[in-house]
Amino acid sequence: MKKFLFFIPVIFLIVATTSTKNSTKKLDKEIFEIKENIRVLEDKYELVLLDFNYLTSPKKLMEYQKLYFDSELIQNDIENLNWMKIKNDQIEIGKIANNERNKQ
Amino acid sequence: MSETNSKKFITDEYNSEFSYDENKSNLKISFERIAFIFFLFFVIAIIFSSKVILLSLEKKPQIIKLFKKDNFRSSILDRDGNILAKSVQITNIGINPNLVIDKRKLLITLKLLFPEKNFKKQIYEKKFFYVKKKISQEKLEKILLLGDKSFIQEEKIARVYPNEELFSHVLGQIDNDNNGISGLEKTFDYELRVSKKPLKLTLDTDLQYLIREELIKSKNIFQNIGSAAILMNINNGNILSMISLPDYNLNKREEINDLRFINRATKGVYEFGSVFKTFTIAAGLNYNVIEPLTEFKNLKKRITCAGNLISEYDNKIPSDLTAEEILIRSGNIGSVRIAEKVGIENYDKFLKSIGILTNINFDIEEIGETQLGRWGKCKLATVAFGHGIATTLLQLAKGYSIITNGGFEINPTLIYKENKLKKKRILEKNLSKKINPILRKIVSTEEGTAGFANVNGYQIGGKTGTADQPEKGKYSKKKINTFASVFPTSNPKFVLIVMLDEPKPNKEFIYTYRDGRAPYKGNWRNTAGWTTVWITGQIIEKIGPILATKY
Repeated sequence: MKKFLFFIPVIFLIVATTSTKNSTKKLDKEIFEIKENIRVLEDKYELVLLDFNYLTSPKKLMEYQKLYFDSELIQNDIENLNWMKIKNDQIEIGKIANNERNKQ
Repeated sequence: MSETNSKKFITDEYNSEFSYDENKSNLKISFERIAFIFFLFFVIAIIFSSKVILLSLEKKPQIIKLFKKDNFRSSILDRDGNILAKSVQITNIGINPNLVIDKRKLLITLKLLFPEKNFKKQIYEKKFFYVKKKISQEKLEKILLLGDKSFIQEEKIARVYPNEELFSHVLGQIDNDNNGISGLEKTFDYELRVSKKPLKLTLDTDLQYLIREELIKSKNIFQNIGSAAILMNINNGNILSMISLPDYNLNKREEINDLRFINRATKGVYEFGSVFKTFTIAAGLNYNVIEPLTEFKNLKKRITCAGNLISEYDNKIPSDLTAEEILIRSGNIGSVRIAEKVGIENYDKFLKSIGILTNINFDIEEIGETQLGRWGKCKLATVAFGHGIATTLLQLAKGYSIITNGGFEINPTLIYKENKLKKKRILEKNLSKKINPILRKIVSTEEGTAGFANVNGYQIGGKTGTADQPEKGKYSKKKINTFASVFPTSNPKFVLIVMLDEPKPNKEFIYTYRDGRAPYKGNWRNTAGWTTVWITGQIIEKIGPILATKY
């Protein structure tokens, strides 16, 4: 009986150790697969980003402007730009240029 | 007796309980073994369990995996994450004619795939030739489907620069073996080849483009042979834009040896002239030998030093001026007088502290070195108004940043860093408070030389510099026109230095004024005030809204 009582925890520990090792092995494999998938997706993303960056580069945008919106787009003056702050549920609005002048 | 003895012996033997002891002993040994094995497994289980618990609790630190691959090079990004340089895999396909079984059949197939090319000569005469470099995936698949063993596939990487020439002087180039040979590609060659993380820069693509466009316009107006501009955050040294013209298209991968293509922002060393007067006044204020309103009376129009003549550019300049008026009106003789008050030792120390006389530790290797010569009475006099000393535009930007940011040390950088810099004050606390309003007056008052840069809403301050360039041992008529601007002067954030190399006055160009005055045509003056300041005004008008809203 004593022998039996000793063997039960030993076998239990052996099984627990093996299953822990196996499960970490599986997890390792899954992690590796996920990482590989991420790497492939990242490569794809970077290529798409490269396309996007090229097509939306300032040079290209200026070309599009000349082609399609030459007379429609105007340069913004700092006098027309405002800042907005939300403080205690109240909205504060002020001119960026005036704000700088006030500091002078 | 012997019998008794014998009995006794037997009795002793009988009482020895030998067999019981043996059994007991056996049982004891097996128990120890089991206990030992149990203990061993128990320890192993504890180790594994604790490791599993530890791993599940542990926050994984971000480890940059280093792996060196010939066909790998990390991307370079701007401050907003836009790609400035990226390596893409390309395939070159070639043929080894020795391995071709039926040359005539292969020639027909190649003609069908590449109708514009003729490989007849190569297939019979060469040992190897490229059929197509950077072949498309579609054509590659068609070739592979042929199953011909004579086709040789070669995997390579190509560096792509979506902005073409926009960052050419900063990014630099790589050679065919994936080695950086100039610019950031050279300095960060190892990091780019081994780190998966992209290299993030402080540069802003939009600002870079807008400034470059204005510099190109300046070439059309003033016919300058080159130009450069640096836009920098004066509080942390982050460079938002750095341009040198002429530049070159990085995608063409040409060998650049022509001196015209020198990086004028970091490598070119120039005498910048009157922009140095700001340093002279700043040194005087820093060592408390002058105040902005300190009067200088009976200033001569010309003086000589060791037989060399030093005179005023404008003879109408009054003889009695305050220190700030000397800077506003750009007086040469007044600047000499202030430098004399500061003294050689202090002036040298001051210029060293703001990085004018010390070599700059920068992110690219193309860096020029200050040329000064030996200090002496006459050297002090000429350096006071920016002659007899040649520095880089980058050093000028650093110097202006330190004297206007409250006297804090900064180091110009192109590499984006998340951590904030620890501020270390190296100049007097009140220096910036005294010098910034004077710089503002140079732009905002009639006496100042930089009225064209007075763009509404930005509080621009700055100093002009028109310098004759030395050629064959004496000064020529070729100019370097510079404008060092700081804005907004009430709480400076940015320094913008613009330099035009050998500009010429354009009599046909029509200058428009922001204060409502009638336009002016027919300018003959080849000064910074009529060239570089105009361009700086145009630049700030374009980039101002971005700076005001984004930074």
